[in-house]
Order: sequence, then C-alpha cells, then structure tokens
Amino acid sequence: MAIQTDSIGQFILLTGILFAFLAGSIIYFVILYRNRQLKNKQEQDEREAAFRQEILKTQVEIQEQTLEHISKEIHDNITQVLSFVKLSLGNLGNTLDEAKKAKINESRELVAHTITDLRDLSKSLSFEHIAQIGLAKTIEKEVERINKSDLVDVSLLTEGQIYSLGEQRELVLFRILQEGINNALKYANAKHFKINLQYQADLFNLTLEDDGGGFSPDLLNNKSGSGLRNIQNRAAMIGGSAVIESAPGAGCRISVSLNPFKQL
Amino acid sequence: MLFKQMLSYPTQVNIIRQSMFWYNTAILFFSATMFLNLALTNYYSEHLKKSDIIFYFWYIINIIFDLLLGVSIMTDRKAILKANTS
Repeated sequence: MAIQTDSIGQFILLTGILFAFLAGSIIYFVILYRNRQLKNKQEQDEREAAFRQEILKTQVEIQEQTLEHISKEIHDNITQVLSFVKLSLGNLGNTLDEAKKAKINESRELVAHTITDLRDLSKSLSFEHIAQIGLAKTIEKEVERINKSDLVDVSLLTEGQIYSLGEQRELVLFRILQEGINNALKYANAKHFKINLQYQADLFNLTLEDDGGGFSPDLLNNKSGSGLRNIQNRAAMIGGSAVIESAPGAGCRISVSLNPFKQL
Repeated sequence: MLFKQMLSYPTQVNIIRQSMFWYNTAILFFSATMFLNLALTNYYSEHLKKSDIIFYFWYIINIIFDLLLGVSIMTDRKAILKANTS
C-alpha cells in the first residue's frame, strides 16, 4: 500500500513537472514571438520611412531640375529677346517725332520693368543663385520682389549671427518659405506675412506667420493638405522638424527648427 | 519545427488569433505528454495493481488536445470569415 502511495506521489510530481515545463515553453515562445513581431514592425517602419524619404528626395531633385531649366530659359531666352525688343524700340524712337517717341519710351520702360521682374524671378527659381548668395540674402531679395508686387506686405526679421546651413538645407528651407508664401496668397488671402530667421549657436529656426483665413488642424491629415504635409516632410528630410499651427480665422504659423551641425 | 517556422515569418496578427499557434500548441502538448504517458502506463501496469489514475490522465490529455484543436479550427474559421467580409 505504501509503495502504491509513493508511486502516485511520483506520478503527480512528474505530471506537474511536465505541465510546468510545457506551460513555460509556451510562455517563452509567446514572449519570443511578441519580440520578433515588434522588431519586425520596427524594421518595416524604418524601411517605409527610408522609402518615403527617398521618394521625397527624388521629387525635390526633379523639381529643382525643372525649376533650374525654367530659370535658365527665362534668363537666356526670354529676357534676351525682350532686351532685343527694348533696343529695337530705342532705335525706332530715334527716327520718330517727339509725341511718338514719348509713347515708344513708355513701352521701353514697361519692357525694362518686365526684364527686371523676369530676372528676379529667374534668380528665385535658380538653385545656383541661392547657393551663391546664401539663404538670408535670397530671402531678403525674395521679400523685396514680393513687396514690389503689392500682393501682400512681407516683413523679414533676422536674429543672431548669420551662418551657412549648407546648400541642400538652405535650398529646402527656401522652398518651404516659397510654399508658405504661396499658401498664404493662394488659400489664406493674407494681407501681412512675417518671416523670422533665428540663428542661434546650436539651433536654427525659420518662422512664417500670416494673418489669413487659417484652417482647421484636421486639414493636416486630409488629402487636401498635401502642401502642408510636404513642408513637414521636407523639414524632416533636412533633419529638422516643422510645427504648423492654425485655426479658422486665426492665420497660420509655421515653425521649422533644425540643428545646424547635425549630419544629414 | 512549426514554432520555428512561426518565428521565422512573424505576422502582425495577435498570436492568440493565429490558428497555427493553437495547432502547434496542441501537437506539442500531445507529443510531449504521450511520451510520458506511454512510459508510465507500462510501468504502472507492471508494478501496480490499481492503475485507474493513469486512465484519468489519458482522458484529461485527450480532452485538452481536442480542445486545443477546436480552438485552432475556430480561430482559423474566424480569420477566413474576416478575410471574406473585408
């Protein structure tokens, strides 16, 4: 009888060990599987982010090539033809009487004005020009150009000692600025536009503010807000971050911050 | 082997909703317990006169195995229905 009790005890013990071992194995597997799932998800997210960045980079490159081409065409072709027209008008004016000469001179002035505008436009489109004179100067010139058009009153404030951010960053920041101005004019009907450049030792900040119609923050998640998302993606591409704040009727504020010494 | 396959190609579906997991657990449980079960059955039939307990053990193992297979089939059916509706 004693032998039988011992054997039952052993049997229960063995069974217990076996079940504990099985349960332990299953729990271990579940934990291991969960870790793999998380790792896999993380890798997938990283691949997707890299892919998006690559697409964006290609988009920016194509856009820059197109703009460069348009800029060269304006500079080398259209303005040259207009200069020739201006010269011809001058020659023609010399052969006419005073009354007609005055009219010809008016036309010459108009053509000269158009040539200047086109040259400015060509410069603002050209990547080379931005690389040559730097971001702050390019923005200054862009502000002058827009203010001349009387569409919107643009003001620029630069704080701190100006330093170079690198060609690519400056180009992307300038395109963000252009996108911001374009949005303010096209959708918000803004009357005033403020640009603030802050050059700090370890932080660069570009702030764009307008007093236009504004929009609901939900727009950032909609398909129609692709221009605004583009600003955020472009900022991420140069290692920065863009914060867009707006509300209906309260204008819009875009703040792009980046570490100037962070490697791309 | 089946667990290893699951680890090699993890999907984003919760493990509890994967019929493969329940099926693998059922097979692992059955194979691991059967080995011991057969050994113990032989031992007790030789050395003990009263060996009812081992038969209860048989029943419990079979019930758990069938339950695990049932869960596996149910989760698979749910996954198929979900795939068909979406």
